[in-house]
Amino acid sequence: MSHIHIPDGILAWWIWLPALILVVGLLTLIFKGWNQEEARRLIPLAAMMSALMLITMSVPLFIVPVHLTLAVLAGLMVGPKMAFLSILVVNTLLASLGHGGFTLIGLNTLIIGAEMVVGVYIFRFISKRLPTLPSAIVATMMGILLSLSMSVGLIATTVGLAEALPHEDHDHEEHDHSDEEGFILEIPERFAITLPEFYHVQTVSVIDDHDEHYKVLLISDDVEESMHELMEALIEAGWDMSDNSDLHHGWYLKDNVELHVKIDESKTDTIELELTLLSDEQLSDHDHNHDHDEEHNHDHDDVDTILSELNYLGFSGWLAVIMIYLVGILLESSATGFIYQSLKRIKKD
Amino acid sequence: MHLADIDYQALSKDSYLHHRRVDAKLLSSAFMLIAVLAAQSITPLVVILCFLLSALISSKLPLKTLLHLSFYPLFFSSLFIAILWSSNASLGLLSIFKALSSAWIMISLVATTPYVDIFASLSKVLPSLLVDLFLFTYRSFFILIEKVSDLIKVIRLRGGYHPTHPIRNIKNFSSALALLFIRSFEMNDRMYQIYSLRGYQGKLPLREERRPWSIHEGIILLISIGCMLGALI
Repeated sequence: MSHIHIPDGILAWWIWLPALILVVGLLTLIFKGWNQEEARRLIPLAAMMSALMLITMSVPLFIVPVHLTLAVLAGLMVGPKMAFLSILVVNTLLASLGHGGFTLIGLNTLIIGAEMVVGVYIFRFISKRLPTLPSAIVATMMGILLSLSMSVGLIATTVGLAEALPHEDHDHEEHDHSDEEGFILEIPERFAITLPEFYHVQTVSVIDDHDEHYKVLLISDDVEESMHELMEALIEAGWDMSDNSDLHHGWYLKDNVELHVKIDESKTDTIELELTLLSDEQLSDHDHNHDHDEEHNHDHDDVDTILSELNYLGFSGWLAVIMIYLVGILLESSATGFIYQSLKRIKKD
Repeated sequence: MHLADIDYQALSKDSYLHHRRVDAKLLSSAFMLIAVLAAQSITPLVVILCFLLSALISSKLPLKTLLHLSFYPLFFSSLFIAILWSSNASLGLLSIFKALSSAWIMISLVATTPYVDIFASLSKVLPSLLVDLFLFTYRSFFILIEKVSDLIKVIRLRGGYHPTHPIRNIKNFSSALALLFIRSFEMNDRMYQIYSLRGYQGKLPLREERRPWSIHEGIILLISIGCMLGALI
């Protein structure tokens, strides 16, 4: 569940390289104080566990868009040291097939390793008081909660919260304009830009045409839809959208041209569109303010898009996210519990 | 999971890269990976992708397998790329190319080199215990994957799967998995005992590479070093 699937070249080196170095350090520590004879005897079992993890980690569950790891089970079966090696082996083999980046082997090993270690020690502590099944379930839940917080936290702070949310490959529903004729607004040459086609627009009237300003009013039969489509088309055409834009007010920038679009509040069928040529000074002020918010803004938009599309067991938005993780945690912990209990029953040692 | 396909590809096909020394291919892959990570513009990545594509085509990897394996990194990076695309298309393209080229580097390595040979080469630098774990895992995977597919059929045939009883399904699958796990472990353990009887003391004697270094190894190393320098400069 906590396996990070980001490919190589996206996370900065200062995030993945220390993790790789830390894993090498941990390996040195593991090998230093280890009875080699005892370790060798565990290899067949650890290899079987690694193979099982390799299978479960490469097959997504159909009922929930996550996959199991069975890391805590590995820790219970072969002990934390050997299980850590198993996790490293599994992550390396998965990375060699493009499932998670090669540079992320260290991070993935640390995160899943932390899940395993926490699960094993909690199990050892509570199994003295509780039967095997509930102990294994609770221990696995605790381990997953920790590793999930680590991976979601890491992805959200480095790449963006949108990447950390569980998602499936959705086909975005787009409005088909193939049969409609779009309207192209002619912009004076001094602005050196073109605007995308407008839809639902009925009439256009120019109300201001000075050196640095150009203002038009567009009468539309569906202003909100027009604004929404204009927003998408402008972003697609490479316009930078300001962080305080919404469906009623939009501020966009391309080269040295600022575009302000808003729905006229007094006339609900009118969109006011204003173009301004910015001086170098105004442009640098704009860039300074804009850069701070841009990354956060895009991530925020994508989070909203994913949340609005997410639907699971009748829940939507954040509730769907919680349900997906909850079902995933329950599946992983109950599978670990039942398998470990069955193994104990079949083979006591 | 394409481990079996890749393994078949590496062992049974014959191509220019199949005949090259493993250490040369490992070094070359490492240089290429550094080039991909260091690349700040699209041009070096396009050059690397062209080299990798020609290597993959010449290694006779089925297009369907290649597309499926390429889908992994592209799908997992899709959201991040979508975020970048809306703010900076060239950065989005750079990320797509990086994800694809790093995946293709690994695929061109494992599709032309049997895993056992890779582990043998790595045993020169990695602890023997870790290399043995890689080898045993690799063997166990094929034992387990075959048994898992049989197990799923058996559970379905014997009515162990009920769409409306999730808890019972988990219980049945867990018990069956536990039994399968123990059988597979016993099989692996027997193998381990056979190894021990034949003198295994913590390091599997792996086949030493007997191919001599030739001008061809020099060519692939030069190409990869060229790519790395091109990306770094």
